[in-house]
Amino acid sequence: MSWILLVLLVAIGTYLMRLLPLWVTLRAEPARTSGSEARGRALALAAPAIIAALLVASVVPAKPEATASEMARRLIGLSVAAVAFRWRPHLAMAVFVGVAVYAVLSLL
Amino acid sequence: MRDWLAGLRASLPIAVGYLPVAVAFGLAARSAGLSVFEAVFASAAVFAGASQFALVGLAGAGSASVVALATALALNVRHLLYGPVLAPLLRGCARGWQALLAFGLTDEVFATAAARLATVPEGVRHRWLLGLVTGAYGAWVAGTWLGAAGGSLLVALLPRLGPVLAFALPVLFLVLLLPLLHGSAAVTAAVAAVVTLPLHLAGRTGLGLLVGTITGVLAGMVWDRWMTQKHSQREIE
Repeated sequence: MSWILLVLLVAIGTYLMRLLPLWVTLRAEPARTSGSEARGRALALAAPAIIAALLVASVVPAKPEATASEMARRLIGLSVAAVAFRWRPHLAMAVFVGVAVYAVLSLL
Repeated sequence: MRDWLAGLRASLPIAVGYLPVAVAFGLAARSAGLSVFEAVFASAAVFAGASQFALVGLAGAGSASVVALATALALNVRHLLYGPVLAPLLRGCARGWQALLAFGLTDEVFATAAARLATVPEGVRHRWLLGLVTGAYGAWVAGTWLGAAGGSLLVALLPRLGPVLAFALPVLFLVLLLPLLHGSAAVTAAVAAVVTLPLHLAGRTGLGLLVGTITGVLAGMVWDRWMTQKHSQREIE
């Protein structure tokens, strides 16, 4: 199989995984059943669950190549970003502050 | 246009985080023997980092195409959850817009949309989300091209600059999560994180994200029910 064909198949599969559940859910919406309240609650809780899972996967390295000091830099950067966001809830600024602190710590 | 620009502005942290990863993908694709066009085509068509890296790795290692295809798709199974979560927020969008926007639902675009789309007026959400997708997609494709076509300067810069810029993504996830952490959502997030961690450390990140999410949601619902029962018991007393 050529590279282009392989990429196309993965692209189509990925796209369908993103699109079809959206359409299926929207189509099912008007036909509300007794379980729709529980389903709505589950979907509302899915957002924090997914974001928390993504956070863990992006902070903790899958391979144990990160040293304790690297983990400390990451945790300090995240903590400062959290404090900045609590102080002033501006998303881009908090991200910038977190990255800047991590950059400075990486240079030390 | 104003709503599209607002979405584009919201994509800035994603774009900053995507650039070094996309550059790394471009470099990896070139070292696996792919042309600049083939590398950029992969980013433009698939727009999913983990499966693209897997494709390059497996194709470069000479693995059978079916194995590469199955692995790349398996890594994206978690995307099945994104549409249903965003569906209530996109109910007013035309089907054509839904079809267009679904293409850009990466982890980071999803997380930003799930956390912020409710604050965008319903009639303009599709334009805001298109701006968000445009910024993320543009950075991903441009970064891939830079990595694939760039020379030794990028190779020299990436080890120092790459990790710093890529750190924008975990910070983004954290900042998106913070406003959601109250009541059962906090329990949900904590359980999801705890369940994801060991599977991620075992090298099964895709599975960890899926199992962590489902377990977290179930824990949140159990917590909800428990709190409701506790509350109604107090009212009876």
